Amino acid sequence: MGMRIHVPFRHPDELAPLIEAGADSFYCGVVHPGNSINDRSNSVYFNLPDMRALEKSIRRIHDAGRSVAVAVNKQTLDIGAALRFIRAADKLGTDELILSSLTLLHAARNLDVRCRLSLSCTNPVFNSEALEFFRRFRVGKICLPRHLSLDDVASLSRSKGEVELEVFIMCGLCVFTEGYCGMHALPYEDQGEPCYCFKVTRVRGAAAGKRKKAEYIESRLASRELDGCGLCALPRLLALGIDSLKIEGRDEPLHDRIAYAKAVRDLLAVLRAGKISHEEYAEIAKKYCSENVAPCNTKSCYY
Amino acid sequence: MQDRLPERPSGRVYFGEEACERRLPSARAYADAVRRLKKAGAPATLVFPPLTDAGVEKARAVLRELKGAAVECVVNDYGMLELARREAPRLELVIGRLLSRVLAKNIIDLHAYSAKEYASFCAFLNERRVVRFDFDVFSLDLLKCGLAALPVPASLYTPFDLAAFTRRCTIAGSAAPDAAPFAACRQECRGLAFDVSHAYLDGAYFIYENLVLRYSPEPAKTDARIDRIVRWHPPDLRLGRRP
Repeated sequence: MGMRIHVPFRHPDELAPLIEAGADSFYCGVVHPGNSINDRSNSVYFNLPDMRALEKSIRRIHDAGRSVAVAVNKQTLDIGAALRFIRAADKLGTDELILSSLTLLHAARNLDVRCRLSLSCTNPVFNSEALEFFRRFRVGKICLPRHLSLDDVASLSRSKGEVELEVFIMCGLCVFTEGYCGMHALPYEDQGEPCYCFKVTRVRGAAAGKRKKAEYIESRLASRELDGCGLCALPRLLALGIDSLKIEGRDEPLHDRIAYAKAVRDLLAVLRAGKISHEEYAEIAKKYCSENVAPCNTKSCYY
Repeated sequence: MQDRLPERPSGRVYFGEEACERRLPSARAYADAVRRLKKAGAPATLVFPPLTDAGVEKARAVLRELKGAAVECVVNDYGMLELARREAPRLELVIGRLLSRVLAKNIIDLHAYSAKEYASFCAFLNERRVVRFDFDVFSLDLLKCGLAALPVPASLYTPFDLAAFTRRCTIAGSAAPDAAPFAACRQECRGLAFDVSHAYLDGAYFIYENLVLRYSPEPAKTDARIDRIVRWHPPDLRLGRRP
């Protein structure tokens, strides 16, 4: 199968419109009794309400010939509870479990489960040596962090072997690297504000153009305009043989997730239809984005 | 942490770069640092940031240049941990404070889950010659627990914490605001830092290199597992004792 469009959902009724929009595979979390075991608040705002909803979703997804991944990607968690959840989700027919904790991967190494294990971007892989490191933990897919250039991704794709690579596209661009960032774990995030809302109060040093630099930095660190795109990178991602394009945003409104999936599907169709120059494609992508998603804005470029 | 050596070192010296592979000293500079510190009788700790494949090649060159020196080496990603284990068997490895932020809690989680699995994972770390974990006040605050379950001792960096890390360097991008997010770096960050305030968090924060720093004075009392204090000021920009 070619490059898949990997889309989040939080209710079984969202599946049909997302499939219609072009989703090839899905991911979700499940509200967990007690503490969360995935990297989002433990609520239906981000997750399926329970295992019954997961079972129902898996049935619908498989009936449509798609696959589903379930997140168990909290960076730190109750390992016993996580292993029990993994066994239960596997029994229901989950195709893939997204893990982050290295010691959970270690404890799961001998687990008799049918589903594939994948690595969350919250345990970031920046280089091929790290890819090799995680291969030993039976990781079959790696979601790369948002903070790699296309050249970095190209280098990893050359050494990936049987391990599938997934990269981000559309939505959810944060300037900081999850896993190495302490800000997103802090309690104020529940107030609905981005955790990177910094304001520059003083510039130290003697560099030229300090004020402009400060304005630029602030616009990256205090802006709500940052959202994420990456459509211009599709030709290269396709050429590199990237396996999966992840659209982030379990909490995003359904109509936005539909728009993102459609945008990726339609522009992939343009590329697959035949020879087109990079310049021609970039123009089409910009126009499409402005008309159907949001005005093209370089702040939102993933790559 | 230094990318220049002190004239008369009075204790262990950390040499290298913790956050940005673009600022990694040359292989020759690392080897010179080891040689000069040995001559001065000061123990050396070499520091490496999270690395892309391009950075791994630079690190590989450093390891070759070290020619089997037995020094401490701080790593901040699992790739560098593997590379150093395989290609520099005399190095003692330290989990740097970016990598330890999550890995330490993972180990504490495993300790709470199963003594057998914990022992097995400790053996895994031991095979990789991990001798120490690095922390700062910010990462200890995030852990919300003691370090008793750590199988090796720990260091505490003070007075600047690493609050956040990015490879989309905002300072590099500021030279050409419309360029792609991974614009060519001209090391505009040297000699430059930005005081920033946060909408919800108290404290003094700074943008420095590809980091957000927080100022945290050394705590009066530290965890029993901490047996080393690392005094770190951003090397080419003195932010002062209390910003």
